[in-house]
Amino acid sequence: MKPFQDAEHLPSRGTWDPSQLPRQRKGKTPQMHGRYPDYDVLAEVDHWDDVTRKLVVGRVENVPPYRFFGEREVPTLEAFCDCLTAQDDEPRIPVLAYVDEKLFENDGDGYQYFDMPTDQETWRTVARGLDDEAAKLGRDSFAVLVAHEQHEVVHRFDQGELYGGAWATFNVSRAWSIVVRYVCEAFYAHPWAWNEIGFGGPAYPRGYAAFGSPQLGEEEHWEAKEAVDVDAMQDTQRKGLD
Amino acid sequence: MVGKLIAKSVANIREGRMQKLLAASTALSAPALALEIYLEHYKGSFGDKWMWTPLWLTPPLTAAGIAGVVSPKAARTVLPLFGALYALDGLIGIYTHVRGIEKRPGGFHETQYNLVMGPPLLAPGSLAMVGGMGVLAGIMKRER
Amino acid sequence: MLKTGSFAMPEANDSPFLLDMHERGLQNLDRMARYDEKETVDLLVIGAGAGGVTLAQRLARKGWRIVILEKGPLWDPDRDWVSDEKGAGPIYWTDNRIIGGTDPIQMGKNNSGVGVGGSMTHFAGYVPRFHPSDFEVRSRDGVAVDWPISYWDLKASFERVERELPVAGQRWPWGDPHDYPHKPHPIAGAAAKAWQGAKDCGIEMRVGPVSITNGVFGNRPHCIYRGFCLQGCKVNAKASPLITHLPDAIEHGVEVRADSMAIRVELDDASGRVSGVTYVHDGQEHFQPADAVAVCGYAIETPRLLLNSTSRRFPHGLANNSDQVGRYVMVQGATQVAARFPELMRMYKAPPPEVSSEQFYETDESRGFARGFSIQTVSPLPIAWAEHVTAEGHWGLALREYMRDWNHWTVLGVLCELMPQPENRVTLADQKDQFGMPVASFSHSLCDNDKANIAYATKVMQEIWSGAEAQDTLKIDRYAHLVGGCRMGSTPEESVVDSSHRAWDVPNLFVVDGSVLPTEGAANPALVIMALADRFATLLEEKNVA
Repeated sequence: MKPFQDAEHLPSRGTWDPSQLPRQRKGKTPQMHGRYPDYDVLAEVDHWDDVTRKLVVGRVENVPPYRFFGEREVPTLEAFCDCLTAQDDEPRIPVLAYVDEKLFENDGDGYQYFDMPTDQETWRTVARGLDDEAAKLGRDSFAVLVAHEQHEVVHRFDQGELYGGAWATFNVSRAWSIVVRYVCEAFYAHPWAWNEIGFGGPAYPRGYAAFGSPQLGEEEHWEAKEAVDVDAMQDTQRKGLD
Repeated sequence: MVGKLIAKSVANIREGRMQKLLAASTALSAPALALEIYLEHYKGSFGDKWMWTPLWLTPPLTAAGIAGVVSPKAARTVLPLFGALYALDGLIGIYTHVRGIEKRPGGFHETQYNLVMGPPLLAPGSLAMVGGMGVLAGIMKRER
Repeated sequence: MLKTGSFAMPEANDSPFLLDMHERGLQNLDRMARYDEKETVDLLVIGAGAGGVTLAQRLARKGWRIVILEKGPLWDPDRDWVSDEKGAGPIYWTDNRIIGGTDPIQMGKNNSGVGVGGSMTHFAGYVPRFHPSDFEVRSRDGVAVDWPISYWDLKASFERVERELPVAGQRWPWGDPHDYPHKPHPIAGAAAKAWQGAKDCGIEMRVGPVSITNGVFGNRPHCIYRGFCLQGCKVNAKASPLITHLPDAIEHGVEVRADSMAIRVELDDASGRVSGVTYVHDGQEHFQPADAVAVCGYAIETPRLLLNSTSRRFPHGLANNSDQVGRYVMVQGATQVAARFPELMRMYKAPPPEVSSEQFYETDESRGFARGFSIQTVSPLPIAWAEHVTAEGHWGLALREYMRDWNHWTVLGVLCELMPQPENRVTLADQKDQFGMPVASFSHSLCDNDKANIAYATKVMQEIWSGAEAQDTLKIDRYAHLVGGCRMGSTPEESVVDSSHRAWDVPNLFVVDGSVLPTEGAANPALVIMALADRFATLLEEKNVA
């Protein structure tokens, strides 16, 4: 039976522990686990057009420096982004660096809620608010809270249940939706995340011939293949590497 | 009875007397091929007017093939004529199919992808073969 | 039946042949006309989208001297567009807009384009026709308003535009049944799932209709099923006016002035006619005089420009003496339900638009609300998929897990016809943009009929997926498309333009874009906007409306 056919691992049925996932053997994924241990989208760059290749490879190789957020905001928001994306270990996608770039370049998404400040101001206020929550626990910064404390604060943010101080200056639920949007865009624009979820990545000039229609095959030879974890010992024996 | 017929046919083939056989084969295979071409070109929405030409040429070739079975004169005149046109269309088809692959994004640099998704490179060769049978019929001796 | 493919090529539009097989950018820019700013052109078009470019192409062929002003760049897909979800940012209108009301509408990539080609550079590609009933919803269903024109006034325009895009799809059984010039595309496994699930619930689906080449079309190649329709088609396979109408327009003397933001339509107070348009290019204000002006800036920018164009005769904005400019802006309820299956769906492949159904398009009183909805397959790429996951409140480990599971999912979306309401409107905010112009403020709230429609449509999607035995579902409430804001009507008290797109009280001002729609139907708006521009051009030829 092919792996992951049942849906028992989905969060709607309980919590899946990513430590049970296979370790990445080719290319990188955030925290080096994923469903497609032998897939590296960056191995396909020769099939991408020049403009796209420059942009996507550049995204990985040239992480933008912090220009928008200040010294106090960076550790707080880095910890917050890690919490939102469950990045508890290296390698990490440097989410906040891309968020900083977007805010610094004022490269907004084209709208502002009538009851919200600019996205820049929203992010700064969130940083202040998170540190306010840390102060309530007697700590100097959200960044130094232990994991379960951070989780608890983020959970209340998600529920819109943060009050007073910075949080009183805007609509907390909208602020949540805005920061989540920025974080997800930064994370899932990154090729390491594509490796983790098995996305084919840029597809020009090479497109797809096999797309699962009744007349056509299901997948290209180079596309990601799902796999459950392999016992390292058996695997090396099977491949004759022992 | 059947044995006799086979023996006679084999003798005819050995002696190069295959005119009726080839004319009949042409008349039978052209419509089958045309159906296949229709379905394939349909998938490409008949984006180029040339994609209709094998379908236009099929009825006259089929008629010429049937005529060639009945009449030795037809077998030496109209059949090779339409056979040659059909074959020529096939050669043009190979050229247009090669161009078709070239015109796709990535062209022959993305060879594997474009060979699979582009027009089938050598498929028009079957037109040349069917048309060629018609031409050959014109050259062959007539069966007794 | 034989009128397909190469025998259904457009008769008066050489665009597909003016493009190059291998280079995606326009090939005839060196021949583009350049009009002097002192010269009064016959028509000044504002906005190079579905309405503006189609109109300019038609009239240029009749010898009109036309300039199109476009706020954004003249794209070269080879150079400017990338095969990347985040990298597609520049093709969306991302200048700030204030959103409000009880159900605020997200703008930007969701519904707003910038640059030559307009929003069609990043629309999914669905181009269904409006139904005959859409033009008479007041008479038939007692809601909203009737259009001042009927389906039959637009039918020939629909057919002409379908050939020019070209549209690929199965024979269409709903509304006014019709065929398409290109054959239906092969469908992906994910769409096949939706098809089967729908069938098991007694719902018919059809492949298409999409404005994506299925076979060569002049020098436009066959689609390569790469899945990036919403990020700008680098193949020139998916239609946008940049490639379907502009090449021919340029060939017939149209000038496109890109990177030029119109800030005011100027009125000659003495004559009551518009004299031209003030616009900003490279930080400098310019004025282009014109005999007539066609505003084609879509549902937000057209009202914004008119509201900003004040004069003695029109102190509250041009053509706004009845306080109608900016009102009745509509979006479609576009809730999507994703479903999980044991097999790999890999929805990043094949065009996002594949199969659709209009079985629920018309009013059915037993459903308890007026009008209806259509159902379509959609295929979010990773960033958009994250929006589906976070919409249900997942973050952290749960977010990562649903994201990892992406390849097992497929998505259905609906387009619910929402009602035009006067308070769903565009006004000018206090905030100013980089051109010193007040930004648009868009307030949007749902009415009870809207809510009932969306709830019912969502239930139908859930039923389709349970029919297909989905293992899990995720729902996201969202909105798509923008129309209305300068609606067409029969009286100056209740509309901005008449049935020939002319502003009441301003004889040489026209609005030719999605903002003139009095109701929105449950169909994607691109085709009807182009068809309206086509019809308007025909009217001008026949009786010289200006």
